[in-house]
Amino acid sequence: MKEKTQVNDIDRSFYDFRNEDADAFKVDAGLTKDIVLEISKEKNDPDWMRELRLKCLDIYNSMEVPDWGPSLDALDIDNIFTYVRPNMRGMQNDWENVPKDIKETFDRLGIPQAERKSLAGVGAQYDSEIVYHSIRDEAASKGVIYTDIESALKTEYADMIKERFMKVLPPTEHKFAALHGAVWSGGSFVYVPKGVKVDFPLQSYFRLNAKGAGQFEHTMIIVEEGASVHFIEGCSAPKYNVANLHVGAVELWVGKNATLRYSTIESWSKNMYNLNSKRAVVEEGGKIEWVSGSFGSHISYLYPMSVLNGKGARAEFTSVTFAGEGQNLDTGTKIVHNAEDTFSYVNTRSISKSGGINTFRSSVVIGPDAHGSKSSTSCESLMVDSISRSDTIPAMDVRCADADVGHEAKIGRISDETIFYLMSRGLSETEARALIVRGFADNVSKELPLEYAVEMNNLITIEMKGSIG
Amino acid sequence: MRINNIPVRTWNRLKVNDVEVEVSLPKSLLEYTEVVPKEVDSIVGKGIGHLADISIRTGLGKEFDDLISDSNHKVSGYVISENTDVKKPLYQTFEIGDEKKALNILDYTVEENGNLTVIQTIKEKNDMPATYLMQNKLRVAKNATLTIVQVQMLSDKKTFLNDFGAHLCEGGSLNLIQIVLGGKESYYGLFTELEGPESKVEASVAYTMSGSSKLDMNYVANHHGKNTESNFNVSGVLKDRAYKLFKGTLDFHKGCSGANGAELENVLLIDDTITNKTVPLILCDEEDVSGAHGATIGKLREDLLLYMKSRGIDEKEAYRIMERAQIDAVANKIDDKKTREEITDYLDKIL
Repeated sequence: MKEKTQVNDIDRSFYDFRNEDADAFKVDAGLTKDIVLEISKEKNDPDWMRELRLKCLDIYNSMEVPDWGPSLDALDIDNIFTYVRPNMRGMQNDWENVPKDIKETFDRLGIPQAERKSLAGVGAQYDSEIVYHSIRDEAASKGVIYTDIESALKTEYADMIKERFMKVLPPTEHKFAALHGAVWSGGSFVYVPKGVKVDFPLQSYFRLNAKGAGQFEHTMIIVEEGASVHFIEGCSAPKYNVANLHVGAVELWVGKNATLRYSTIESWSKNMYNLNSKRAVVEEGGKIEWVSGSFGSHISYLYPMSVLNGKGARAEFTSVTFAGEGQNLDTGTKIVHNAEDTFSYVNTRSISKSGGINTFRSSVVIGPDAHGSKSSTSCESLMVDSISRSDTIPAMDVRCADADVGHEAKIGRISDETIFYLMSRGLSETEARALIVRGFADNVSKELPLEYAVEMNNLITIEMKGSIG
Repeated sequence: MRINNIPVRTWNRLKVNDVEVEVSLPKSLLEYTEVVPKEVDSIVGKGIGHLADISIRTGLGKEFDDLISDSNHKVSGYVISENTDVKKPLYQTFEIGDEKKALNILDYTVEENGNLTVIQTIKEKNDMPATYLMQNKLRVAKNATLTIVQVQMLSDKKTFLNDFGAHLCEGGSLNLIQIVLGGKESYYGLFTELEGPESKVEASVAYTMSGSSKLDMNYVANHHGKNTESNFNVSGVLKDRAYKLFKGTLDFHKGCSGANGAELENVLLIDDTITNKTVPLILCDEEDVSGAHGATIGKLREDLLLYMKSRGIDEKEAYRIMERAQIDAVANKIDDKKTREEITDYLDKIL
């Protein structure tokens, strides 16, 4: 009998610790007008934001749950607490002022150490509120803003936020975008002025501790002409026996000849419904780079979208998704080419094991004005056992003759030919198989800063014994 | 009714999950001409034996199949006995005349070790508006081979709903060659049940679409048997305001270990007013399989264009040559000189 390769499930013990429920305040479970108004009051919203929340609630109530993805039947919004304020008031800029239990949580996740070693700024959200934000002096002195949205709304950037809030990602986009608009709380605001290049990444870390709670943070990043920045987000939660919900929204603006790299390492617990939306608008010569590692969640709907509006704008999407027992991860990307000479490149890998389900879903649209545009997609899926599932559902829509669109998809196990080739170069069969499986996720890890690549590699512990298949 | 439904839905706003059409059945079937080799038994109904009892799903989907099945129209059946190698093709010509609605329901059974080639030509006597419905159900027994060649030469006044369903037993092989040279709206469907081990389907489609014509295709290979194989090769040319949607699904079910599937698409785009949509699905519930998709969509490669210009061929002529080459590449697979010549003559007329 052949001995099978064992690809271990993600070791979640690192993330699976919880604090006692000592929240200062939480709204009732469910979603009503009163709850939305209560959140608005708690957040001290300006009038326009309160009106927007109520409009989003109406849109939410009028829209249907998606009929095309993993089942959301077990998600009952009536059981979700949409706002949970931790036991502190106001975001802190000094780590020492953060309450002890919350501080210990982020200490265990390594956030302060990462800040000291390799980051230009860090933000930490605990349940519904940002508890800590800081930015290095050298970045701040160049005019880089990195704070929470509530704080930014009280500054000169208030009009900029009002002008752009939920414009790239309108609440009519889908039911959960509307839900986000109604109950959003927390998140980050980043502004990088013209020509400023931020040398070290900024990182936001989202921790959801409360049982049955939702997290609805809103991230806005504006990178002006010729500027560049790398933003990293991480997220985790302890596991509960009831559903938790994450419906964040990310709106990104990449100016002329600017570059934004947006990296995500997602390690939500396996009771999490991760229905997150992310979208970037890219102007002439600008570039958005998505780097995504999805390892957690019970169910995910996640398709970062790039809208290439300016001539020569570029989008790159690199991802790895690992679905283990009890996970149904529906991930991918959407790219819209609206201008000439735009370019997109999609490179995804997925691994399914122990009954996990992976779906790669994508859409590439080449509009009628996108002359000379090019798009290339490569997606590979690895099935590690016979009880898992892997689907690819790409769609391409081309409305312009002067375009070049390529797509490649592969599903299956490791080919015997590859093994034989490596063995012919002197590797043993075990070494050859180990090399291939380890290398499978390299597309993402090589794009991350070293510290995060190591963290990601720690997430996938791969033990090689014998053969796959 | 909604037809050409993909097995797994995606975002509704892409408008690719299915398509809405208005369909009603005519009172009588379209009369057609045929040349039937002596080894072929023409019958009314679905043939005899165990294969006749198999329920066959079709590419246009359940709503269309129910409409056909619930009608009282007779099925034209053709049966090839065991170990019968039919050397000459079965020729069938379907020519739409003054009918506003036309229908044919056909059923082919190739028994064990049998071999048959069917050549269907779809034409019209005039260019009056009409809707033509056609359904072909194909039953291929152990180690039998069925080749279907279908050439569509309709004008831009005709709507054509073209529905195929196939069931393949162990070692059975289906080879479908389709040439699409016209039509106002064409809806093509193929659902292949690769039930027996080592069974195999190959579909080769070539099309040229111009004016405001529309082509919507839904091809599914349902792999159940071990070591089954599927290949969809679709190539064509889009110009003017033409619309094309190709949906191809390789569905690997649990237990089909050793199965292989491949989808290859090549689309030459000529005008900026075209719409080209491609949805190549690979669904995988079995680890020991290989599924692949590749698509090349765009204009002529610069180096090829440059080469042709260096040989004195201008850009317009280069595109015309390549348009023809897309069709010829598939037409050359047809092992029948008469049919190939008919395609050539028709291309001379329309290009």
